[in-house]
Amino acid sequence: MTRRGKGAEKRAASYLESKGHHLVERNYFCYRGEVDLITFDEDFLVFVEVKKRGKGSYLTPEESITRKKKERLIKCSKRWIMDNDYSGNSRFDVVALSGGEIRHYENAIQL
Amino acid sequence: MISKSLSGAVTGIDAIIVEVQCDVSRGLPSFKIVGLPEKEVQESRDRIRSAIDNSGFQFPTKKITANLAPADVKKQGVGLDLPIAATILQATGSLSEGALKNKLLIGELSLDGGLRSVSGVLPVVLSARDNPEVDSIIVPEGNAKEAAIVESLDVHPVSSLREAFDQLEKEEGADLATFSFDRDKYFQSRRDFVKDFSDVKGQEGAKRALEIAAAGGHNVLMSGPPGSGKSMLAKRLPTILPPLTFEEAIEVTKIYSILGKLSSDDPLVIKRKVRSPHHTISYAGMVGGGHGNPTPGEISLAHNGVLFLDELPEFNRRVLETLRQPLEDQEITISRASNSFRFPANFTLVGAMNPCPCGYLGDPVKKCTCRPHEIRRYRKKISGPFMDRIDIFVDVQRLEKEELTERSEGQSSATIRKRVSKGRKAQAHRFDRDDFTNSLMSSEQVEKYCQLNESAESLVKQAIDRYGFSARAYHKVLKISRTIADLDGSENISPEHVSEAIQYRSTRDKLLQEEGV
Repeated sequence: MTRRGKGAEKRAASYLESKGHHLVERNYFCYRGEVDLITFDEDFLVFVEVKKRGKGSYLTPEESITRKKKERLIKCSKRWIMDNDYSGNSRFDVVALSGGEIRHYENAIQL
Repeated sequence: MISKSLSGAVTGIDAIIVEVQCDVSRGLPSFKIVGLPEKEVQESRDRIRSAIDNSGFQFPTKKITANLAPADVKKQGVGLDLPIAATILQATGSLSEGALKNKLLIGELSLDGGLRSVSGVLPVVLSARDNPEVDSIIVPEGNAKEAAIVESLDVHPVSSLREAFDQLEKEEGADLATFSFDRDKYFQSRRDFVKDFSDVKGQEGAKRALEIAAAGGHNVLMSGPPGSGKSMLAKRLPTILPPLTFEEAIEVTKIYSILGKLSSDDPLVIKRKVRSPHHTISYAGMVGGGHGNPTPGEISLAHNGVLFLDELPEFNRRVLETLRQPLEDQEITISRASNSFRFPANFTLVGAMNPCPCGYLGDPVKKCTCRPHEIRRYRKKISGPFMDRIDIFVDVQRLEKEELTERSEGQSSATIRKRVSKGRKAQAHRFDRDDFTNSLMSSEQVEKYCQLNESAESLVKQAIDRYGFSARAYHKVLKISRTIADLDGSENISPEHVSEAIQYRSTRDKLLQEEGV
């Protein structure tokens, strides 16, 4: 994890907390991939993918989430749900940081 | 929570009633459709998601499974969009319980939540009529008339998902906006043809041949130089056929409905159709077929009407050969590994050809420029067995200048149709069936109904000697004589009837044999 990546995740986490999310876990790793943030938003368990792109980047952060990344995220979230015996609602969010802006997409990824 | 609604999907020529079940449960958000959905039904997921969001509801962030029962039949058609969306709304609690009871929903959603008309509504409604669970049906506005043709069901046309929701939410007993229209009046109102037989100058011989063909359901082949009026005559054949009965019109409309060829203003095919496919047509286009569930082809579109094949020898031979079974059975069976589909194809075949590739063989003025082997090859393109299924052969000659410049009008279609109807009535009386014609008689029936007196008998015998008629040709001559006698209003077949019939048959030899080459 790069220094910049860590900074981005921190910013995303504090942003989500300000919106009422409760942080459950940061950087959950499994052998299939990783989930940047796991939070609770009301009765939803939220798996958050944080993407940052610096100034002058060719792609926006939203564009740089590939199908492969999505698959990894989904597989990893299933792992977490199994390990923690979770049986409630859940969804995937994306937080995009570019320049000074933060954009939050609820329910951005579906199976 | 699980919710259910009813819809329909077309398979072959009929529709099955589909029960759409929907389960919305906790879990990772996903939306799946199971129950053998074809590509367009799979894609409905994205339409439904946007339509729900854009109609003032929220698409649930849950695990959604929609099942289309019976799950072992392939589901085609975008009409399933609306029922799937409605079950999702009910399963998430937006739509109250019981709102979908005894209702059949059909319609394609657009992304903004609007409802678009779909093809194949009539077969679905016909199946729904026989299903005790359905007592009303919600359709897109454009399909309202088509759905209302079947009278025993309440039809509620809606223009959007929101409007469908409002209709479904109305309390029981409250009057839903029901659509109705006077189908009998409509059916009677639009039967007049634009074209008429009086448009065609001269060609009395060919007109007479078509009159006989119309009366007895005989297939016709016309041969003549370009511009002699073959196409004009063929296109006017439906104007002298007896008008479609309501049941026949429904049969034809079903086919047009499945292929999406109905307009919202003209929900019923009232006139007999002429189909004139181009000679480059593929065999699937001709008899029906295609991926997944096969769709009807040109011969089914010509059901209860006329199939006109212009430039007959130019058609692919394989395409012409596939016509042999439908010409015999009045229907076509298309078999797939999973199922076989039967499409009706009761049509009168009218073929047109030139006497030779350049078209002017036998013409008194223009000279034919073809070589003998070219003519031979041209004529050989049509196989013997195919020719055997054609009863009447006519030589359509170029008009003389007196006929061309003549101002007087020929007989109108209405006059001819009256005679044809009389001939058909005699047949209906004889066979005790409305849809049976002389051309369909079996050999036993020919023996029974086509008895000749002595002088007629001797005439046929002479013809057999002279033209070398086969048993089949002999029977064809008898059938045509029967039709001519029916047109004449005569119980017995007279020598005049027989001699006219022989003439239509003997023209075949003139058209096909290589003498004259």
